Formats: sequence, structure tokens, C-alpha cells
Amino acid sequence: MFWKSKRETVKSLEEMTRRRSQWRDVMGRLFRNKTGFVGLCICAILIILVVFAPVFTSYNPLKQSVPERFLYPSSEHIFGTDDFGRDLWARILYGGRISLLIAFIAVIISTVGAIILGSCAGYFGGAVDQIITRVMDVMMSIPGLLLAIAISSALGAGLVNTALAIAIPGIAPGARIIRSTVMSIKDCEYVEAAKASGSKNFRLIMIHIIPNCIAPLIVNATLSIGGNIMAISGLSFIGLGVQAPTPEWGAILSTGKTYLRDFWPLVFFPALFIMLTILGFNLFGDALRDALDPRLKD
Amino acid sequence: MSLLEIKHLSVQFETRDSVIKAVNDLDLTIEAGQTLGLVGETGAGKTTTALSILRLIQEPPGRIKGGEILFEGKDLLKVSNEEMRAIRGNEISMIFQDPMTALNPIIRVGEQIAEVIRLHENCSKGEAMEKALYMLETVGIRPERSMDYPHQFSGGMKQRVVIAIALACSPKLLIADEPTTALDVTIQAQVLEMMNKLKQQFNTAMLMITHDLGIVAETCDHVAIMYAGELVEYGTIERIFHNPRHPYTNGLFGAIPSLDKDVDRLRPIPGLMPDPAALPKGCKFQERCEYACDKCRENAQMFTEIEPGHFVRCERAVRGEI
Amino acid sequence: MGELIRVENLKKYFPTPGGMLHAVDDVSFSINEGETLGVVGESGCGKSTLGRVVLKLIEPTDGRIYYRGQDITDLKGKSFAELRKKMQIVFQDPYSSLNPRLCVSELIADPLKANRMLDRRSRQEKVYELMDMVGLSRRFAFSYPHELDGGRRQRIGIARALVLDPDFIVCDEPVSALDVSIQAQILNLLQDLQQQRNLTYIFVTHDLSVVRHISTNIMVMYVGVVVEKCEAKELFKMPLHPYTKGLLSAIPIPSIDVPRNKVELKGELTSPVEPKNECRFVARCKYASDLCRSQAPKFEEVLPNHFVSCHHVKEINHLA
Repeated sequence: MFWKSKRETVKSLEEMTRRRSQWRDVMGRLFRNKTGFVGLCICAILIILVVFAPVFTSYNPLKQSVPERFLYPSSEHIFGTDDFGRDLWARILYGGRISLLIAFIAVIISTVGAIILGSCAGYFGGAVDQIITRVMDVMMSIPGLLLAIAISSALGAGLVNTALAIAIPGIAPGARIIRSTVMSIKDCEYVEAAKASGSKNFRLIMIHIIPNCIAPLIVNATLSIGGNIMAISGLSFIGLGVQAPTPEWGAILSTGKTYLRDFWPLVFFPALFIMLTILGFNLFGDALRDALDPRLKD
Repeated sequence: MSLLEIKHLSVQFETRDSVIKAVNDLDLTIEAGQTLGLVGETGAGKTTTALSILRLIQEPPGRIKGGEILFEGKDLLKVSNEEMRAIRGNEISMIFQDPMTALNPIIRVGEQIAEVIRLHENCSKGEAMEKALYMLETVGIRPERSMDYPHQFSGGMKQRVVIAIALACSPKLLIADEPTTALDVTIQAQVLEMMNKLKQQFNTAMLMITHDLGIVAETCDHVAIMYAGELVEYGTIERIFHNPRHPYTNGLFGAIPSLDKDVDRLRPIPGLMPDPAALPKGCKFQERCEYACDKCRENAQMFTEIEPGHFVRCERAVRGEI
Repeated sequence: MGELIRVENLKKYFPTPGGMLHAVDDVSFSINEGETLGVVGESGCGKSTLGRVVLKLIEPTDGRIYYRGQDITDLKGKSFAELRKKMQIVFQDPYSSLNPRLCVSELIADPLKANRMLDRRSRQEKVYELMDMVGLSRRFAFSYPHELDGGRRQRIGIARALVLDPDFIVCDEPVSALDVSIQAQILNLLQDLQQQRNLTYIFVTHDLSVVRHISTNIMVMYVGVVVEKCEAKELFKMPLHPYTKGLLSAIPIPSIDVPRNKVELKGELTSPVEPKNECRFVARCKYASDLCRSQAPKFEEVLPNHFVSCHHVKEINHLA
């Protein structure tokens, strides 16, 4: 609140010329938010687990062993084994590498795409807006997964291609959100003020408009991480995403589906990890959105 | 017995790491049929006082810490929620600053007025509607327009509808929180004149909250000047306008550009209102006061009667040093 | 002192579903260097649009704008960018006119960055210089606007407008969102800056007491047209147009001694959408005649340097 200006000390010119570390402010606010901190912890633990997978398991995720099929969790195999006798804990750790990596790349691609298209449509309006919005409408009328399948089969399998295939259907909803936010911010007096001081369009968008759209952007991005993981599994399932023996959460889950009645661990554990990922990123995303908003300080 | 008597009212807002004292030990009296002007700047606690009377303070973070609000001898802070609901809109009603958001956009204005009447008076739908039409006419809107929706009205007309709703049950007290701030001057003049007329017609007492001393001059019988949660001066309109004693009241008069006198420079009150979370010891106005002395910084000032019915919260003014 | 801004037959129409909205209709005026033109009127009279059109923040529909004798109406691109620095604006709402994500020093430096002027260090020095000038303590340099009160925020807005060293500023209701005591501080500041830097203002407001205090000349607008224009004090001593008379008597005066004969204006503003060829004030005017309903009055010099647009101005005011 306005009366709580804490930076009362007068500093030297040299010291003040340095931009106050906004990053530290943001981090401070982030850590003060309890649910956000829980989310951050979940995300951090998941990332550490998958990045340092060999440290946390000695099993080879690809090594099959027929006599050890369908073992329930025990001290030896903490999550049990799958239909080929492979250690599930190892498969989930190694599989997470691919799931998380692709999901991340896809989120980045779709967010950047959404920012570019959405802000152009919202800011320039008129014909530009009409064209972009119509194309987006067409894209949104095709089911996301179907579009991903089409793109994926055109581009072929592989990490980047899969990420692209998942990212492209995600652009349209994001772009729509940004377009409407930009349209409301565009009419703010501070944008007019910047125009009056001679800012060019690009600068206006980059400095005065996009930073103020950050809240819906982050929410959209964190929400779509979960969806992306599901989409990867869908692609993997029909053989377009990650190829067969390579572990991947969605792929494990869809195998488990077959044995749902008789053997629960094969569905439960990948689903648990997907859920934890989504939960973690959503909590973290909400906190990040609040932390990045200077108005919500304290 | 006065119609409304507020005694030692204190309201504060509690946030995680600070306590904001919005209203401190406030005493206020309104007689039946009279208009009291409550004047002060943003954050002085005017609206908080008004909302406390209706018990509409959001809790938390707000809290009425103490005091009494006697309405016809009954302490509003002690009555049940049920009773309070019956009083709101019926015996005490309120007009808010922004007429644009005070009306429900999807209900016809006639029905909005009738609804309030039906809520408080035991009458049929038809009777309520009849009275609603009469109210519309009273505030200068043709009854045919009762079938229109709020967006079909201009700002001034909407405020008239709001006033019609507020007066529909002939309340004994009308609280008007900056009722004309959102309106243009010519429309403001129309609305103020209408309010003056209706006040007499319905014999309603009014608490007029405003920052505009011009509006006070046109509508009020008594004036209370509020600063940082306290009353600093109170008296009849003649006393306050002819003989303002508190340095803040004087400052307010000096800060307004005049319409008929030429001044090269305005005399603003220097500085800002103190942080309500950290009010200074002693007089709240000391930091901005040119007469402040050591005593002002030390002692809390008493609200003292300097002549019959004229109270000032300033020791030096009481001693006649200013 | 020479003429700084001249506007001729300026028009701005906006398309609406009901037809053309005549926000500014055939407005002409000129302002001398170092003077202030007050523009008063009620909401929707086109006064804010006028300010923005003069700055070319909105393109005019028709008419010409001259800056120091140079026609700038059709100027675009580089040549206009230089002029843009000379013409700035201060906004009404100190809340929505500051980007909430930038701190005070970034806000003030933003016009410099946008024009690629000065290096980082000298930019910061300039920011401090301006903060001192507008009376904003340096300790707020890294505060965010939401941490400050309305008065300080408006000082930021003024500093931002001054950073490019303009000589012409449109003040769009710069004090109407502020408390009286703060309002006086800002008005004094604007006056001091005008003297120090020989600034020329267009001061758009609905508050007549403020406009009298700060203006050299005053222009009264009603539904897109100028109804009266003259020297500030004369307008208050001798208003000629019936609308001006009504407007002046509608102001609540903070005094209980002055007996007032009120000229009440009935009704509300006429719609500016597709106005007919008539006097726009006709619906609220008690002197309205058939002539007023069939023909829009001309804006004429009735007394020396006192312009009025009313068919019956001479009869109403018993002028020869």
C-alpha cells in the first residue's frame, strides 16, 4: 500500500543508478507465498529426480526380465515392475526427462507464438486482427490432438518435432487471451503517454503492453504444461511421439490402461507423477503471477 | 434526543503487519431534519464513518473498536443483524458516489425502486410500483421511463434514480457519500437543488459527505471537518465559514482558487496527510501546521468548545493564539 | 511574444453506429508563447479530444494545426518525431497514466529511452534534476507508482512530460482527481514551471475556479463547438453566452455571504451524433427562437477580443 514505502534511505548517485534488483524483490515475494513455495518445491524435486535419475535408481529402464513381470511395490522395486518386468521407478525417472523436456519446449514455443500473434492482433486491430483471429478460429475448430497428429506425421517423430506438434495447437487459445488483454491495456493512458513521448510501436508493445499481460500468460502457460504431457502420451500411444521402448509418462500410462483391472501400479504411479507436475506448476505459476505484479506487494 | 448521536467511535483496519486507525474517538450529532456536512480529504475517514453507521464495514480487515452509534436512542452497534437489515434502506439509507455502478444493469429502474419499497413496507406489487412511479416523478423523471434500463439514462438521471431509491421508504436519515462528484457542474446544481427540496419535503436529516466546501455552503446547517480520522472542527455553517479556527480548516479555504478574487499564488497546505498506520504523537496535523509548537508535538489535542456549539481540536486556537 | 500554436477549423468526427459523432466541430484558436488557454466544458463536450487532436495523438478529420507558423497537420515520421518532443501531455488520472510495472525513475526516463537520447548515466542525472524540479524527493526514485499518493503520482506525470524539454503542454484535467490541498500544490507547480521554462499550456478542465486561476484566455465548449472565448477575468465578470452564464452560476461557491441569482440550466447535453444545423444549446436555452432552431450561429467577435457564438447575444446582454 502507498504509505509503505520502505526505501527511505538516500543512497549515493552511483548506487542509485544501478537498477534496484527487481529479481530479488520477486523472489522474496515468491518465497513468502506458502502455497507457491510448496509448488516450487514439488517442481524442484521432480526436476532434480529426473535430471539426476541415475543417482536415484540403479536399474536400467530398458532392461526386460520376464520372470519379474507385474511385481507389486516392494523394497527391491519400490514402484513395482511393468508388463516386461522393467523397474517402474526407473522408467518413471527416465521417462520424466522426456515428458518434462518436451512439455517445456512446447510451452515456450506456444507462449512465444501466442505473444507475437496475440499482441499484433490486439494492438494493430483492423485487418491484421481479422486475419490473425480468423486463422486462430480455424485452428481452434480442429481438435488439438488431431492437429498435433497431422503436424507430427508431416514432420516425423523426434523430440523437437513432437514439441512443435504439441505447441502449435496451443498457440490459438493463448493468442486469444493475450489479444483481449492487450486490447484493454492499449487504451490505458500510460500507453497514450508513451505514444505522446514518441515511443515506436515495437517499444510500446514490449515495454508498456506485454509486461502488463503477464498474469494471464503465466496462468495459461502453467496450465498447458499438464495438457502437453497428456498430448505427448497421446502421440506416443499411436506411435508418432516417443518411440516404443523409450520410457515416457504418457506411454507408460497408456500401457497400464490395458491392465487397469488387474495391476494398479502401472496406472497409478505415472498418473501420480503427471498430477504432481501439474499441481506443482499450477501452484508455482499462481505464486509467480502474484510475485511479478508490483501492485500486490505485501 | 438527537436523531443520531455517535459517541467515541473508533474504527480500525488490521492488515498482517499494521493497524490502520481510520476513525479515532469520533463524536458527532445530527438532529432530525438537519444536514451535517462531513468534510475532509481522501483517507480522512469520512466514508468509514458513514459505513460504520450502517454497519457495512468489511470485517475483516475492518473492525469497530469501540463507541456507540445511537439512532433514536438505540445503539446500532448492539442491535441484531436482523434489526439492522430492517433499519438499512428504511430508516437510514445511503447514496453512493458513483451512480454508474449503484444500479443493477439488467433490472428496469422502476422495478429497482419498487423492490426496495416491497422489502420494507407491507404492500402488494402493484402498490409498490405505484409508489415507485411517484418517487420517479418526485426526482424529476417522467414515470414513463420506469420501464427503461439504467444504461438508457445519463449520469445525472441515474443519480436521480439512486436518490429515488434512497428516499423511497422516507428514511429519517440519508447518508450521501459525495453524491455529485461524478456529475457535471450544471447537473450537479440540478441534483443539489432537488436534494435540498426533497429534504424539506420528506423532513429527512442528511449526512453530506464531501470534499467540496462549495457544496457544503449550499446544503448544510452544520459542518464537521475531519482530518486523519478525527474531527478537527465542528460548528454551525455560519461559525465555520465566518470564523474558522483550526489551521486545517483555514488551509482548506486558502487552497481553493477563488471565482471573484485574484491571487497570484494559491496557498496550499504543505505536505501530505500522515500515514494512518503510524500517526504522530500529539496533534495529527502538526507536520503540516505553521503554528505547531512543542506542546502540539507532545500532547494529544482536546476537542474543546470555544463558543456555544463551536468545537475545535487545537490548543493554540482555543487559547486564541492563532 | 509570438504565436506558438494556431488551429484553424479543426474537426474530429468519430464513426458510431448512429452516425458521425462530432466530437470537435470547427474549432479555431491560437495561443501565444508562455500563455495558457483554458478549455472548459462538461463531460462529452469534446475538450479532451481537442487536446489530443492538437497534439496529433488523434488525427484530425479536417482543419489545420500550426506550430510556430509551420503546418504540422500532415507531418509524419522523422520530421514529426522532432516536433513530438516539443509537445507533451499531462493526464487526468495519475493512476492509469503510469505504467504500473515501471519504477519512478524508469517512468520519467522512458521518453528519453524511446527517443534514444543521452546515455544511461546522464539519463539518471536528468531524472534526478526533474524530480527536484517537480518537488519529488529523490528517495522515491525506485518506488513504484502504486506506492505513492495521487499528488506525487501527478508530479511523476509532470516530470515525464517535461523530460524532453517541450515548450507546449496539454494538461488534461491534471488536478481533478486530487484533493484540494494537493490540487493547490500542483497548480502552483504548474505555474512555477511555466514561468521558469516559458511553457505554453492548454489547460483542459471542468473546474471553472481552477481555470480562472491559471488561464490567460478561456474557451468554453459545448457539444463539440466553442460557444465563448475571451480573456479569463472578463469571462467571469461578463459572460455573454447563455450557457456560460448557466455554467458559472452552477458552481457551488464556498461562501455563505454572496447572494446568488441562479440561472438554472434545465435538461442535459444534446447528443453530438449527427447534430442538426441549429444552435447546439437550443434545447436548454431560454432565449431560443426559430432562428436558433434553423441555423447554427457563427462564432463572432462581439466585444474586442471576446468571441461568442449566439444569434441573440446582443439582445440578451443589451449590447449596442
